[in-house]
Amino acid sequence: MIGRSELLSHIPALRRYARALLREPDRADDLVQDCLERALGKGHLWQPRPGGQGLRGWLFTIMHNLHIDQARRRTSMPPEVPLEASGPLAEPARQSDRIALGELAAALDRLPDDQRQVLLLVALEGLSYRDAAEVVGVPIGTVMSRLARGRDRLRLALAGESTPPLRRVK
Amino acid sequence: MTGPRPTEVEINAYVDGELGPETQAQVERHLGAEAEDARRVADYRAIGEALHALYDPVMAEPVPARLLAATERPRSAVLVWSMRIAAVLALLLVGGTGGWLLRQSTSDGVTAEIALARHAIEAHRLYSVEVRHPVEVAADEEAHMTTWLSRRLGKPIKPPALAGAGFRLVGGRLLPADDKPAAQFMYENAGGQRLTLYFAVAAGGDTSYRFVQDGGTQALFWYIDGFGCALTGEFQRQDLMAIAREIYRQRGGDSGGQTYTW
Repeated sequence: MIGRSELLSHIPALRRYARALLREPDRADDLVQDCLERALGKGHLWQPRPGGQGLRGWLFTIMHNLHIDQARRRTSMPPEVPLEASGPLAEPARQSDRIALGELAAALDRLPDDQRQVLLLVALEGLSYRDAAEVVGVPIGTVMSRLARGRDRLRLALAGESTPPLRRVK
Repeated sequence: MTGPRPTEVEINAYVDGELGPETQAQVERHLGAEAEDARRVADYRAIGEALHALYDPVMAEPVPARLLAATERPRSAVLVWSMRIAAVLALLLVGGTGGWLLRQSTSDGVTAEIALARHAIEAHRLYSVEVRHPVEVAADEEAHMTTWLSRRLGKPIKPPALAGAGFRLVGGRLLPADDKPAAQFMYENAGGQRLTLYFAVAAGGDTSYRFVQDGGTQALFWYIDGFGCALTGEFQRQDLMAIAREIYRQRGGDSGGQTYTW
């Protein structure tokens, strides 16, 4: 049985991950809601045990699986372009120290789904490789290679959009 | 000079703090000598920071009510049955062949009550969050709204004044309830919290007050004078009860029941 307050404490992180994954706030919260309902529906299946997956990891696993199911169902439908991603309507370019956040979000969208998931779980949600592997349901080596490929692609995409280093060399 | 060039995977693991102390130190030494790889590490860290800058604000947002509601268990409407159980027991005491019929009609009544509460809660959820169009007719046209809704429901109906309880009338709307019309009046307090009062034409006798809870939403419902009524909001039960008493008091205080027939 899962305590409500414990469940509530994980909602902000679940929402953050879902938002990063789907971009569109309503769809992201739909995913979180599905995840919470699924978790409570099968709440008896999760038990805290030494060396086992923590509640957070378990919730992320449920959400990951729901996301995969939904993504699979959506492949037959025309893709939905998130409103914020549709160009000039997007909010004025915010900037972290070095990276235009709008560009980052767009580059993230262009990553293959499996690379984006792992990257967000590790670099945004701070999961260990081991926990991320459990969430995604792949061996730890696969997490590492997806992460390496995803980061590399992202880096190239961002470099390509701001100051193309290749041209500078020429 | 330095050890073997770290692999791409090792550079990532270095950024993520997943290396053992020895390899960590090796990679660190390598980065001191290889500017390109050091830039790569700095870029990866910058990506991580940018991801946080991009999505951490989500964590500071208030959690939407529907997600809070999803953590409540059980999720379906929970009826507070003590009154109803007492009534069923009383009916069962009649016994004999009549007992079965009475029980059946009671369970039909229960279904109708659940439907009433569910319609009221759904309508509350749908419209109380509306910022620009919460109602069909606004409170500044109250007289018109009262005439219109009374005509459509086929019985005189009027929004009670709840200023004493801190609620001002926002307005009202017509709604479908199965195959019949229903009406919803919406109120708002100074804190912007909304309360809806729902009326559906219903056959059957008067009942006492009962509560239904669905997530964070509470509905207090009762039957009176051919109406099923529900008072719904994200409030404590005792607060809803106090408002319901005020509504009842206004009805009782009206001479001849011409205006507040419910």
